[in-house]
Amino acid sequence: MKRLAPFMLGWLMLLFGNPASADLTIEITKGSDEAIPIAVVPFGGQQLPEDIAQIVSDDLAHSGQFDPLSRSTLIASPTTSDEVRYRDWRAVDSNYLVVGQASQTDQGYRIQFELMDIYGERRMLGEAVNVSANQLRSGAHYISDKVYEAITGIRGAFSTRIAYVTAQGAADSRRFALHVADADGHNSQQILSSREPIMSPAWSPDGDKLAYVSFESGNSAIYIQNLATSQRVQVTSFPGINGAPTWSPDGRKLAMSLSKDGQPEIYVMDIGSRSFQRLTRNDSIDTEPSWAPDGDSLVFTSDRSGGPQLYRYSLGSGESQRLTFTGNYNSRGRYSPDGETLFMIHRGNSGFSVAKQNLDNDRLTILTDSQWDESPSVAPNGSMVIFATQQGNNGVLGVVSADGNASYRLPSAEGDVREPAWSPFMN
Amino acid sequence: MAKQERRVGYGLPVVLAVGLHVGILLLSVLRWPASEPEQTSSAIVQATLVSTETATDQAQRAKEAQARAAESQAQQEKAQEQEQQQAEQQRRAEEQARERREAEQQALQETRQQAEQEAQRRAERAEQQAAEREAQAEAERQRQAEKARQQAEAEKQRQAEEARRQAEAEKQRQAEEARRQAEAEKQRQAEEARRQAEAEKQRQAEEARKQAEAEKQRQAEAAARRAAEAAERASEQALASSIAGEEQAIANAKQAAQAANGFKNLVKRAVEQAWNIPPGATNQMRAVVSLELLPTGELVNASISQSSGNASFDRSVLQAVERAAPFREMRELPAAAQRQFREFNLDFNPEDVR
Amino acid sequence: MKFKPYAKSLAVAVSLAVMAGCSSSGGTQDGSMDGTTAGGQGQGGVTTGQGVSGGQASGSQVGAGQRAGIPDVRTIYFDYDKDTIRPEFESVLNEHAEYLRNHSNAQVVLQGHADERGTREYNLGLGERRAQSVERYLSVQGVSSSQVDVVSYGEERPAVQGHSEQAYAKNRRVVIAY
Repeated sequence: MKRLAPFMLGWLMLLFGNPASADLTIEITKGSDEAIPIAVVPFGGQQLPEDIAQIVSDDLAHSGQFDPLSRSTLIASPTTSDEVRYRDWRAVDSNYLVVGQASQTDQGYRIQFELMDIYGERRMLGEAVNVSANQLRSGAHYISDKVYEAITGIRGAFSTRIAYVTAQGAADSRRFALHVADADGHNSQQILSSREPIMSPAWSPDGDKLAYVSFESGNSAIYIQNLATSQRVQVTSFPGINGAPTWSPDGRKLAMSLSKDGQPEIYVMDIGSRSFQRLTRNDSIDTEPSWAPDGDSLVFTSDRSGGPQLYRYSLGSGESQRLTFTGNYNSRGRYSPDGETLFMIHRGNSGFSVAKQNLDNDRLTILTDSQWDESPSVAPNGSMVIFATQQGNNGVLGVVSADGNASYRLPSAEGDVREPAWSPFMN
Repeated sequence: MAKQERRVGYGLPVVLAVGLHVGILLLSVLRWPASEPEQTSSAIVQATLVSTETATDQAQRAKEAQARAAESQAQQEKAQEQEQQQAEQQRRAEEQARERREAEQQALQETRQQAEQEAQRRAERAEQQAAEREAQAEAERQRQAEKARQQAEAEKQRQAEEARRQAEAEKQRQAEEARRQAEAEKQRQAEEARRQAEAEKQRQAEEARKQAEAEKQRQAEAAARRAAEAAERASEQALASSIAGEEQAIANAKQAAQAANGFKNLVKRAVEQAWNIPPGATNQMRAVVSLELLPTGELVNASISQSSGNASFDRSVLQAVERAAPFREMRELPAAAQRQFREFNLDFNPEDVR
Repeated sequence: MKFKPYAKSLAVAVSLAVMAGCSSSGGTQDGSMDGTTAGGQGQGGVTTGQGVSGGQASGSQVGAGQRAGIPDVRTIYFDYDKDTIRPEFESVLNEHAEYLRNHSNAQVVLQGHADERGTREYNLGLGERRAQSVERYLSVQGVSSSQVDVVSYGEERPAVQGHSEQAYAKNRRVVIAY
């Protein structure tokens, strides 16, 4: 016994001692659902007619990924990185900090901004941008883009634009109009006004033109209008429905739905030669085509199975394949820019909502809890979706983040708003 | 056209025509009786009258009378002819009207027949189309059923896999538990054996002591034995104290293990709550952070020891650690446990990114 | 006979009088058109179709509403997600068919509509289906296809705003516009 005791002691020490080893690893497999807290401090220097920090703060909040601190909780007002005390910002639990200042120049203003990583205690980004006096909002959106990209690694979409249709007036004196505005709804311009309905605006890939449907000739017809020159061309005038125009990724073709054969079918028109290629051939309604980002296939809505579902048409094989099997109403499919997700309108228990389907595992997720949603359109960075919905009896536009975490309504004073379309990156 | 028939029939014209005929006949009949009374009046005046007429006058008058009669007859005949002609015309007109009506009706019937045929044809086509649609719907239903079946199959497999995994994990856990219990049991037994051995030794020591006292009279061997016993006793006491110290260490170590476990969970939870997984992160991304803490739980240093390859992801995990720190509960850890957490690693690998 | 030429025009005049009397009695069908008992608000403006059809057709046919002989009822309604003609509207369509057969110069546009639920372009297709259904019915009744045109407005021109079932029922319609 006496000889065994030292062995036992050593064995116990090995079991419980371990004084100098760093082998312990804890596994972290999930994170928080909350948005990233960020503080955007009002910019100093020259007083500006626009509140740059507020625009940046709103942009970041709308993306669904950031939770900007409210102004009342901002405990200090630095305008440059030298003035920043990291400890202050740790105390209010903010991960990031944006500071800046403006000065006047001959051409307008020079805005300087810096992005700070609070917990890393370092400056991440610093830049100065020159804008003319009436481009202040653009400057703010530029800052939002840079901040967003620096933190998330994804290109910001705050400098893009949207198109939408408004309807005003009583039933027998209704006026319809097509507008283009900043992605946050500001700076709207009317580009078409009519007593007849306007539908389905679609941006060309270069952002210069809009295709849309107008009933001004007494029947639906498709037009292409150049935004800079306001010149436009009517590209179809077939009997029956001429609807749902969308541009191919190379900008040379327009997919559409034409019912001149008796029922709506998907056609592709070559814009240069005005030649038409018919893609579908059956008795059902085939409409709402939209191109995949690689240009090799289109998603479209068809009720050939009894109710509207989404199908993919492969341009190579000429075959159509059904994509949606959840629920009995899925329509208006739109691809994410990476082609891996399909956004759509899905009728569920609480009505018609924006939903997305992961094309790898076919899992469907409903993104909104409103019930009269229509016309989803994806931001060019794939992070947000704009759509039309109802607020009481008014048509309004909503935006929801692609992960469903955040949503907001666009402000509108122009009557019923519907049919939004998100522009490509405007460079 | 049907209404006109009812309204305007043959009745009135026929009545009028007949009436006209009758009227003419009456008129022609009435003339003869009218001329008779004139002749009888000339007979009364016969006595005094000397006729100045010559035979030729008479003959002429007779001829004129004949001519007049013939004229009137001719007129009558003409009237009759006209009458007949008009009647004929009317009959022909009516005939034509009837024919026209019949032709119209026929035409209408024809168009209706055509429309019916057209409708039939369309109905047939619609039926065909409906049948096609039905067939396609059926095919789709079957495809759906097939797909549903495949999905159900896949689901079943997934569930089976899950169940197997869980069972495996459970087994491992139980094995671990059993091992730990076995170890604890072994330790307890070892302790028990040691305690028993100790008691035994003590008894033996007592025995030896008693023997030594009994042996006190033998001075030389007793003294040598006493010296040997004293030396033994000294070594035994040293062993006993070292064992007692060991027991203390074992108890401390157990306590430390429990405290370490608790602290580990605390760190894990705090870091998870502080971690904002960036958008675009996938389940494949993985980063390891190695960190140093002071005994107070404050973060001395955190750095990426294994990068995920994605700058956003790396930054987010560092931020998570920095936000979760300091871990003040470190101070309450027993020294043995504290030692483990002065330097350790955090392995970030999200499992369910949406 | 001197009656004949007058007799014909007299007969035509009398028959027109009889037909005018018959068509005005068709107006009483309005009240029984839709099964809902309480939906009184939209009814007056919509179901008689005289003033509203002009507005619905964007004001271009306002004057046409009162031509003598055109049946008064010019809107027929449909069930949700359906384009089949409901039996209670067959007599209305028969009247229109008869008028069109008798007046080969008359032209109609069948305007198809849908309620607001679902996506807009798909609803253009639904509206067109309903208008085509009416077109087929008229054609079976002998109306020439050159007299009939089809336009779909989908959900773009609702008769009644709102999210209730009653509003939806009033918007699922085909308007026969002369």
